Amino acid sequence: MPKPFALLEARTAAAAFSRLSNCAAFIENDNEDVRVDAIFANGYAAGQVGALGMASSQPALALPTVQVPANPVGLRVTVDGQAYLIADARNDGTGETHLLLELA
Amino acid sequence: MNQNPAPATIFLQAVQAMVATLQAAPAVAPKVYRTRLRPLSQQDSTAVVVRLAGSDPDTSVGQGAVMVWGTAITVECYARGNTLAPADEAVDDLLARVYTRLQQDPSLGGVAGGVTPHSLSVDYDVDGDQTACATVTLLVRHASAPASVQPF
Repeated sequence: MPKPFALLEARTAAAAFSRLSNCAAFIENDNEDVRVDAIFANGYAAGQVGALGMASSQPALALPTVQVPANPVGLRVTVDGQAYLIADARNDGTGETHLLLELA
Repeated sequence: MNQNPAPATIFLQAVQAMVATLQAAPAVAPKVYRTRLRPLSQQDSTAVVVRLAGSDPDTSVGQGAVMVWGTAITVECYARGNTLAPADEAVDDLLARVYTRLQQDPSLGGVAGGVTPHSLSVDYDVDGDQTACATVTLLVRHASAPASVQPF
């Protein structure tokens, strides 16, 4: 069944990310680093441990779903020279996927 | 402002003594805080926080020249890890160092009659890195002057 709007979403997402990308991100897949256009965010997070907690961060990468490898969890990503592992991948269903990262 | 503050109670003295014991070279962690109230910063890979939890007078001991107390002090052992060096291992290592150090001098430099373990709890979280905290509650047996919280 044709999905014209899905194709339009994918094209729009790819065009938007090519303009709005804020980092140099490389996803390692099959021993090859694949460059992707992505938006990297690394906001404050609080590790809820003990009575006080520990300051942490929440590195995440947003990118077009078509650029996400199959089975991305566990793959290595390098963003601006810092290595991470993909902890989770959340496809929002509109052509964009958010990768949650952990420091490698 | 009070120009002549009262001497520290035996409770604060016990906490201070425990901090000093843990800070004695080589310190068990780069940072040993007394009653820190803010979350640990991202620069702290490992840290220890010592705080007073409460105290009960030992009424089984007669009111003589001293008043005996069982004081609960919590020692929070914070550690950070990642996928290659997991936080559970990092916090376990820190907990072992803290416990060993306190067992080496259960008198806390002479202010306590003894330190015994009461409980241990551990929790974990993960964001960009893994965080863990092992909280050990210790009972410090020490004494004050009769009808006082000051040293005898």
